[in-house]
Amino acid sequence: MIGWSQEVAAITLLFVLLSACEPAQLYLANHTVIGINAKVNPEQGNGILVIGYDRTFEPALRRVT
Amino acid sequence: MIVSGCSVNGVGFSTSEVVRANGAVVILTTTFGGALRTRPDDAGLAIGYTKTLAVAPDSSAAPRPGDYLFGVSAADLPLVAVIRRVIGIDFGLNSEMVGATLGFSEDATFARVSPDTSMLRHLVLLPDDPAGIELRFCQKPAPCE
Repeated sequence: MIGWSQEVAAITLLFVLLSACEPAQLYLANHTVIGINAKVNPEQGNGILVIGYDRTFEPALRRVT
Repeated sequence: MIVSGCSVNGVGFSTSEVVRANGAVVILTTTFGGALRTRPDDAGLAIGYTKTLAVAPDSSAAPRPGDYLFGVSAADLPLVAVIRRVIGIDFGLNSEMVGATLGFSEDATFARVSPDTSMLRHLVLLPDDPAGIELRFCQKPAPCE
């Protein structure tokens, strides 16, 4: 059985976690796909295959060469 | 291009609307069929339907506000924000992405900055209200112009 202080701590933690879900974060690009997406990034040497739904956010600046 | 159902950089089998906003020019372009993009950072080919919102600083090089039946090119403009929706097939062949998408995709880019520069700007992006978009470039410590 958990005590009162532990309950308060759990509720506080829940609020902290929920506040992180607010759409207030800064991002500089986003990509949404519904369908099939296959791509590679030649600069970073990585790739991705998406079948279905995917949405990504880029918090960092894009490098322009 | 029109007969073949193609467009290059938004010009061809397409329509555009140019809206003057607060410190910016907003170019809304819709393409049908094949749409070729030649900007080095955005090169690719879309087949199907695309709708692009591009925001560029207000300048003499920007196209005049109005409707363009066969589209208008934004390839030579310094774009500060781009939102593109594609329904169909989209092939990307540029420095950032090589690949293909089948179905619906939306790519939105709100900043492109070279690694050796810094920038401070104020951008209010309202995709559903292009005339309400605001763009101001700022210089520290002076307030935004």
